[in-house]
Amino acid sequence: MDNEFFMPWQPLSSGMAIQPNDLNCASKQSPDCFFNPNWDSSSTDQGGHFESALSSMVSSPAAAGSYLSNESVLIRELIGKLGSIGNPGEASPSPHSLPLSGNATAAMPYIGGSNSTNTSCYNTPLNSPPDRAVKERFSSVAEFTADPGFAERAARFSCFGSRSFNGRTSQFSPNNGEPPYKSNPLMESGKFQRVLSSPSLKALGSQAVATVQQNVISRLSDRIELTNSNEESSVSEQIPGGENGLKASNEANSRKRKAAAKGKAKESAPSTPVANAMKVLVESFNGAPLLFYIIRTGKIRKFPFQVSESHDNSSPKRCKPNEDDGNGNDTAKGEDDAKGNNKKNDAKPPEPPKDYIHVRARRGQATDSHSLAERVRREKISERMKLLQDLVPGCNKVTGKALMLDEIINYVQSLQHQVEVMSQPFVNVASVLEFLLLCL
Amino acid sequence: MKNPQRSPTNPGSLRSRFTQVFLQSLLRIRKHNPTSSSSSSHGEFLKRCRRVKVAAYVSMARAVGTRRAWSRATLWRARNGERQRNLLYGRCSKSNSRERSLGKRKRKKKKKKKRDNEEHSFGHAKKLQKLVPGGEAMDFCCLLDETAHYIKCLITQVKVMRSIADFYSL
Repeated sequence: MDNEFFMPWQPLSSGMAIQPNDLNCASKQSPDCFFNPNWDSSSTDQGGHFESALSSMVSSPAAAGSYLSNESVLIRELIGKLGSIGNPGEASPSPHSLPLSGNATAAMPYIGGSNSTNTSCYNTPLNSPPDRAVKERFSSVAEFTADPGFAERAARFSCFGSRSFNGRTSQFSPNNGEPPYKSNPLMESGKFQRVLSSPSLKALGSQAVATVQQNVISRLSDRIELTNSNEESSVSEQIPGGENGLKASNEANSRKRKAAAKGKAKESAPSTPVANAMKVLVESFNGAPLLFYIIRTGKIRKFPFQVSESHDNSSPKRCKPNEDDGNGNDTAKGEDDAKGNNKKNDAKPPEPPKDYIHVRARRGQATDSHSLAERVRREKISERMKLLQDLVPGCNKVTGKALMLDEIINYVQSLQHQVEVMSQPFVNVASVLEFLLLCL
Repeated sequence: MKNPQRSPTNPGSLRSRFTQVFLQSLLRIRKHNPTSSSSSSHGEFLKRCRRVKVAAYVSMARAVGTRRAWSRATLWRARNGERQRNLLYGRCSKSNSRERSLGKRKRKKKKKKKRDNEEHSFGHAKKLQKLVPGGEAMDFCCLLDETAHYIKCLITQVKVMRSIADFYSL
């Protein structure tokens, strides 16, 4: 199942340049191969543009120097990148392939690479890509690229996204007016970053990707400074909101978001069209399931959010598997919550983070170790009773352990009696036995 | 008819192993008791029957090997009787060391005592423990496991003995 998710992400990950070798491979793939052509500076696929534009969108703010001052530039870059998605024939601005191989330095060129080529295609509108799947994705992209304020928002995106990664957990103002509006792109870019990084993470392995991501995030955060706390709050609010919407669309109730707890007002999907569009985009990339899966495995629990301590507090909890949307708010306990939720959830995929025993407590059942051990024991016994039922004839009709044990006891006694009876003919053994022995 | 071909097709099967060992033990009994052919008292008859029965169980346990607790217990029981006899006569057999190891294992098992069985099946579990050799020192879960294997082996044993008797009686 996870492979299915991963497959469409393959180009994404390669586009993220976390797998440099995959870049070429991804380009061969059809519409999913978004990043590759862009990163290879050979735009053969519209999809590639899209992803590269997105990544560059995310990275461009980092590439810029003082971000607050270069916001407009960043915004234009972002828009340009987005615009390039619709132009299949255009090479994406990013000259570099993303050599994110798990070290900070690799992340650097990735981040810096997108800077130069931003301006080239930012004016081009998004054309509907020939491929239907791409069309779907791009339609949503077109929506928000057409947004006049998108450039601004996009610029803020990555800034806010990185900021949110820094673990700002301030309460978020609801999504209203300009600041939240602006923050949406950032939030979405942050989301993108996370989402986009997820497949690459998965591809590389949690550790390498985690470090890469950390580097990216740290760099972004270092470079981008937000002075507007409102923006941050709204962004972080948006992020959980967006992510929630995303998850709801992709993997229902699978992620627990600490940000969601913080921005409880934003449990529902973000209202702005940009956020929705971005959500759709991320959806189409199936990033969320991937990220969700990665997070689910527990390896990347702190992944990509280990940039700072505050970061760790927020993101791991964000990443933890979420039960239902209703349960997603109780992120305060973090791991315990995940455990408890996992235990209670009988239908949720993630395994409880227990090392010594892999038992999932069902809904409404006790979760302490004793009862779990008891349950395991009981299950073992019932299993063996079933085997015995098959062996002993006439046990099928009997139900209940006591009756079955009675039957079993009777049967064993009868067999032993039979052996005794059968031993009588052998008392008077003859030479025929030797003959029999030779035959065997 | 595939019956005669069953053993050769799977020479390592439990049934063929048991058959071999059982026949060997029967021959041994016949060697050690040459008076078996002659008509004897009822007591002798019973003794021989018991010997055949023990031989059947021991040969089955040997065929199974020491993988199973009940087979180990059976072999130990058989050896224990032999050991006691040897001790009485002051003889030391090679099997003593093995017996000791087996005995240790058995003692360890018995030291474990009877674990807590299922609450509702205490009485049944005890009965079953008595039936299955070596069942006293097992918890309920293992007991069920051993019972299943024991039943399987008993069925094989009865089948083989019946088939040999049929063949022999023809």
